Amino acid sequence: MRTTLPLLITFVLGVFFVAEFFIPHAGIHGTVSLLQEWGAVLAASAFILGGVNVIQVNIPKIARREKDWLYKVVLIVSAFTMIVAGIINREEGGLYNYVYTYVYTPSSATMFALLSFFIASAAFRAFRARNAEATLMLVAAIVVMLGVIPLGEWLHPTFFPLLKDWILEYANNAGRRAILIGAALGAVATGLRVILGLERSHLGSD
Amino acid sequence: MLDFLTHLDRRWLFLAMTFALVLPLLWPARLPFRVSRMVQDVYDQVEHLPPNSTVLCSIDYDPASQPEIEPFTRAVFRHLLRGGHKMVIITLWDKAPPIVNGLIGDVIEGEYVRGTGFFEGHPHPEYRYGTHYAYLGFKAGKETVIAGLGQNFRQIYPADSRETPLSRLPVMDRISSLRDFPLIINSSAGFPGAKEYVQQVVTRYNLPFVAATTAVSVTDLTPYYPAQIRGLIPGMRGSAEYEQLMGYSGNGIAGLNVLTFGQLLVIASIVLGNVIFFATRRRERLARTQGGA
Amino acid sequence: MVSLYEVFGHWFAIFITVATLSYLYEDNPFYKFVEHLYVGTTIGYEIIVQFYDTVKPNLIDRLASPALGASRLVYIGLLVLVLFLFMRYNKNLAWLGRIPIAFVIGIYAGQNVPAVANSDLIAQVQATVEGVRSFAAGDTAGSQFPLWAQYLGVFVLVSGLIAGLVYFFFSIEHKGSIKHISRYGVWVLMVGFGASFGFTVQGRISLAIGRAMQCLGVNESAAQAEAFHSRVVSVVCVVVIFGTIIFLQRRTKKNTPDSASPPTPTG
Repeated sequence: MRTTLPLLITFVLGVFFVAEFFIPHAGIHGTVSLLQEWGAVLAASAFILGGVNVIQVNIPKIARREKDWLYKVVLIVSAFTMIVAGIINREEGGLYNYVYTYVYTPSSATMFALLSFFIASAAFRAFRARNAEATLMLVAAIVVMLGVIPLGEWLHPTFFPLLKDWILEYANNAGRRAILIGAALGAVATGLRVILGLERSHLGSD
Repeated sequence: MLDFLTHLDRRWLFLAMTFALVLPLLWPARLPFRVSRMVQDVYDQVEHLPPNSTVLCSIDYDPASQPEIEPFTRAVFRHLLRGGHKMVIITLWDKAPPIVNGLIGDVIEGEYVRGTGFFEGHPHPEYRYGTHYAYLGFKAGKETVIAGLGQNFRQIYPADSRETPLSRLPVMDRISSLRDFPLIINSSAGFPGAKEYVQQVVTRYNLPFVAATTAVSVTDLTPYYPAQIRGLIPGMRGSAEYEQLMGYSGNGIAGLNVLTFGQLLVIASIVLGNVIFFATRRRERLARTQGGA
Repeated sequence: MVSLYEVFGHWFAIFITVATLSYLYEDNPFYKFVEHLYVGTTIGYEIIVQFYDTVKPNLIDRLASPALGASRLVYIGLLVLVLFLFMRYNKNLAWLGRIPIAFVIGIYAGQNVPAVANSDLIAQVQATVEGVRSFAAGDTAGSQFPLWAQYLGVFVLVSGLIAGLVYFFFSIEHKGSIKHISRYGVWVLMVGFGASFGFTVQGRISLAIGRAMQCLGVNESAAQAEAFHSRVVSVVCVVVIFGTIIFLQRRTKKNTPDSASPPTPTG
């Protein structure tokens, strides 16, 4: 029951959605979009559950005064501030939007901006022409970088931009399509294994 | 010298990158650039829309990707407004709703309706919420939502972001699914985004679809261009090209100039790294030969 | 007119930006503070947005809407599935949480199998064949490349695709001619990865440009520039944050002369 019922639900829904693709009958549309709406609500609920879980994990750490517990206080206080602010007023001018604009936006954007510094470091330390393959990659990367910036056009009006476009349109597409086709075959096989109940890791252990 | 460079503290590189980003912003220098075919195709798709079209704009990015994609999104909003088209705006990214509200406030309700900025001196007060544009808000569910929108728009979006039922929004009158839009414009920073649109609905229903994407995703999406994605904006460079087509200089063009110096630093790092690599290898080989002799 | 509320917000945003960037020097309390603030606000934001934008309109409002009549009762099924998701807090009933997961997985798997096969398998083969067909039919005028580059391109596109697929085909041993073909496939893939790296650099630097623009006050209106003094605030934040980090670092070194240096970021 604990395993069979979930497997049966996955099987029935999986077969239904595969069949729907090939039999796009107007009568099916209502059921399909209803089930998709349910899928959206469940995905949103899972996010809420995840958020609650993080709070739940951190509160005991504060209670036990574990290492860095003060930072956990910052985490919990900011989470609750955002929740309360969101319940009270989500409109422009409210605290919820204020925290989003002046706290979430700069912290999130700067976390990712750190990558621009690390990529320079990685380029200096790791991007070496050790063999033919690495050299091809390195040359393609430099050509694309020069093709993207206006300086490439200043050096030669067409050479770098056209070479960049040629690499994208032919060499890159050849490799990407090989990857896409391979990955699509893999995705289809995995999807069918899930539908048939051969792959059941998403259900966790008993 | 070689030993110094081999053991160079990476924080010097970080400092160099900081200067590469800050100095061109303090003393801007602008080099001319051409518009690529992928970007021109996006522009042409918008330009050749039938008059008074209702276009879907799916704004799927977060604050981290704003510098790359937002200049295009602003430019394409202006382009649609200039053409007199209607807009239905949605987002599949949970972090995007405040960004979308900001865009609507700045470009539609600010510049266009009040006649400021790009529309300086040409106010269009008749462009009203619900009649000419609507923002339906965010929906969780990623590709399931995209597939659902291809089936039945109102099942997924029963109401807009202001909780007004779609049946009361005149702009939604003839819209029952994604198939009813003459063009779908997607500002996509990743998952879910352009790839998922192509997989779930664009290929299946042969929908007219263009996308702006982060530079990181460009090489993943070019196999879909032009058969499935009819035009593609590749990151900040693409945004700058679109601004150039629209005839103004915004954050895209300003950013592209800074990008030039940042990328030059990375190219210089690669070249220097390889010079050190080959010099070290040569020195080791020489030492081995001398040791052997 | 810029409000004081907005000015403080802008200053705090600059402080957060500099504090996050301080990680480039070494891990420090300012960065840790911002890191936890970021996670906390994200959690709070996420719970609110998921509830008010999806759960409320698509479940609660549906159940409460008299306009839907008896058909709204169907949504009781969805409510039960959502409740099952939260059963994980009860050990005996935790297994019920598998049902909504199975529900979502079933939809995703059923939806993706034909969709991915259609767009990434059939359509990609079709696009490649169509490219060759139109080139063979003499449709070369619209291309931006000279004719020889198109010949070379079509050859690389077709041969590279086949060679790439051979490289990914592990059911036969890669030796003899297969080894050479798969090696050529690797070369084509490497050129593609090089292009990816080039674009990744563009993308990563673009992320930092937005931050630099805010800290330097680019795009501010005259009124904002007068109120914010972004450049001055940025310099003050840099001096205070990095000054404190260096002071703390020296104090730690003085107290523990033999200890290892504090961790620096990797990347």
